[in-house]
Amino acid sequence: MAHKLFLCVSATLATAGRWDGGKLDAVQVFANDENGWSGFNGFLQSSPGIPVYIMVDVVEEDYRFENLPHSFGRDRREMVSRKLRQLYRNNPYCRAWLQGRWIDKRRDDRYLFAALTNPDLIAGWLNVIEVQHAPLAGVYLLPMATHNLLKTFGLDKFSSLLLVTQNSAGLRQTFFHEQKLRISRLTPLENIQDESRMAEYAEEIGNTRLYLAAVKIMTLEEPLLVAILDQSETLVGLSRELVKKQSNVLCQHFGRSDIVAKLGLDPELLRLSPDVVYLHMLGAQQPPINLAPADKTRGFWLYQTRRNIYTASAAAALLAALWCGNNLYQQYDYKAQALVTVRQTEQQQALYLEVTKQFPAAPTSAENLGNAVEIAGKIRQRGRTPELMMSVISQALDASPNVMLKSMTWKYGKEGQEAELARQSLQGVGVMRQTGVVEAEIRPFNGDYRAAMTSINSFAEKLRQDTNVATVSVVQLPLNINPGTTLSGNTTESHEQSSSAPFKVALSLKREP
Amino acid sequence: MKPSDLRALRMPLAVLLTVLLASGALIYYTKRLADASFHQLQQQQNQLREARIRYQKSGDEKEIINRYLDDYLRLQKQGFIGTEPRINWLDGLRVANQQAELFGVEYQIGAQQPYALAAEYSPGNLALQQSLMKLNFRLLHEGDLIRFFNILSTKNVGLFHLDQCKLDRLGNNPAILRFQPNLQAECSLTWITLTPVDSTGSKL
Repeated sequence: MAHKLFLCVSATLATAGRWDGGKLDAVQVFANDENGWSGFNGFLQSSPGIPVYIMVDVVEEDYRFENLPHSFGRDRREMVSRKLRQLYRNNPYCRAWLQGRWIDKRRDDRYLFAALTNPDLIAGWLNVIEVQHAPLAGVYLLPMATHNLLKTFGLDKFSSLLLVTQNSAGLRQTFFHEQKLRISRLTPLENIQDESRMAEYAEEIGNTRLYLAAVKIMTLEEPLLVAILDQSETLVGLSRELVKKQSNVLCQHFGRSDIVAKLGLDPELLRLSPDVVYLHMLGAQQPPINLAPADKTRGFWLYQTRRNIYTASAAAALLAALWCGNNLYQQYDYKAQALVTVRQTEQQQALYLEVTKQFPAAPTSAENLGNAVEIAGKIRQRGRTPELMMSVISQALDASPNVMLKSMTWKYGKEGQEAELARQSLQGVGVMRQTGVVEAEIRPFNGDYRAAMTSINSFAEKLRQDTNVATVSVVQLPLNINPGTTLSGNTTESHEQSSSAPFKVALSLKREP
Repeated sequence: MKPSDLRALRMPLAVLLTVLLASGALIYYTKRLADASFHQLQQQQNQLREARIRYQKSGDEKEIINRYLDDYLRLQKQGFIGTEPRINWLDGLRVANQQAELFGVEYQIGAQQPYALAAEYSPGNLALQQSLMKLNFRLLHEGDLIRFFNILSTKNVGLFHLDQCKLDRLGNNPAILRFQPNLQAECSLTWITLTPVDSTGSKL
């Protein structure tokens, strides 16, 4: 598929070519009239949707070399835009080319302002492009494409160079100073007689030298290299004529064979049109400034944006493919490793099974055997009976004859919140402890609560003195002496009135090792 | 950018979006596959490590079996290991009541459930279960309580531990009958059994 279409338009002819894979082909020459436009229409139809680059080789062009104060960004854009409006008014086909800075104190920016002064010359071609919905990539002046010829032909060592070519439009003279394009002139061929052609060409070149001297670009004494690119082998005698008539002129002639060799062109194409050289240069490297206004190249912008999005899609797909490939490779690698590991595990298990054949028959694994027996031992070790609690209470009762035991409660386990946590989470929380509550009464009791409480405290103290006891607290007394509650009774001394004084004592035993 | 530009770019943008979504989905899917394989590999490597250790320690294993097998079988016979031997327990209660010369034992056994303190014993592949039992009986004197439980523990009834006992003095007149109960005992105990489980969690 072709990537670019080129069209070189002169006043009378247009040469079109297709750039495909870095080579120019399908070159066709059209007349610059309705027939030519119709032919070009067919040319575009054969390569639909491909961007078109137009190069113009006409007399209606303008080059101005201007210095502007050095500036950046928006200021620069506004200043250049102002200058373009000043120079070319409403002509949209104009651009400025920043060529560097002066070396004087102000170091101004050096600009080459260029314009196609008669855009109607390409209107017919643009209509065809628009009708075919081909994206217009740009409109260029032909001398802009010759810039790259200097390096190709080894002419970039000369400070003042006049490149002379005979194109389909006429004699084109392009002057370069320090390898920068300064001016270019086209002389049409219509009124020139073949016999006097070389002499007239030499005179035209002389006029150009005079112009350069007049605008103080170079003096007549300065040496000038005139490089003649003779695509049609029609300027062979020009070097001799120039040397004869002009002083301080060096001439270098490049014939068709040189051009074909240097540019790698198909000689048959060059026979079709001398403009093929410029079409080739346009394909090799895009010229520095594009004269087409933005509204004309909108289709190309869309074309490029579409291509960029498709390129991004392809890049994303490629990246994803690589990423997925890497993931799949990893998966394959892990699976392969797992297979090896499975085989190794099976070997180990087989070895183990071989060894276990010598083991005594057991109802479960060795680990379970050991665990079960050890757990049983721990549970046994942990078990407690109320015997110690009963012994402690019994000793205290023996020493307290007026305390009569009514009941005794013994508990072994975790207390309070610890017990609840252990129950809920099945986690080991806290320590096991023996606790108890003794319910007893003072007998005989004659209503003397002070004496009864003394006896109760004495009983509690006896419990507390036991080395196995951790804590003792009287949790209930025969008389509630709390100031926060109501208390009522009778002080009459009578054995029947209150024959007992009940109380409760809570105790806990020390944790056994 | 004009609406007409957006219309012109609709197809490439749709392609880009589709490519991005499909790429994301494929990357995610293949990453999941790779992660799953990696996880599988890790599991396999762990199994290999365990198999190696098991083989290396097979000598120790034999020694453990030799050391613990008899005790294990004894515990199995006693009813600590295996299914809950409730008939043995009731037989044990009956015999202990007779031998301790009590006045009859009332019992109530709750449903079996996981042992509340199992975690403290790090049971590994063993499931510890408990059944709570409440006993009500009368005693001549407090020494009978301890004697009763001592006898009960010798009757192949597995392992249990006492959680709580309450002794209440009965209001009898000692002058009327010589062999009448003086104390009412109410005890609760936890009967513990143990069952080996395999790696899937089912009991063996």
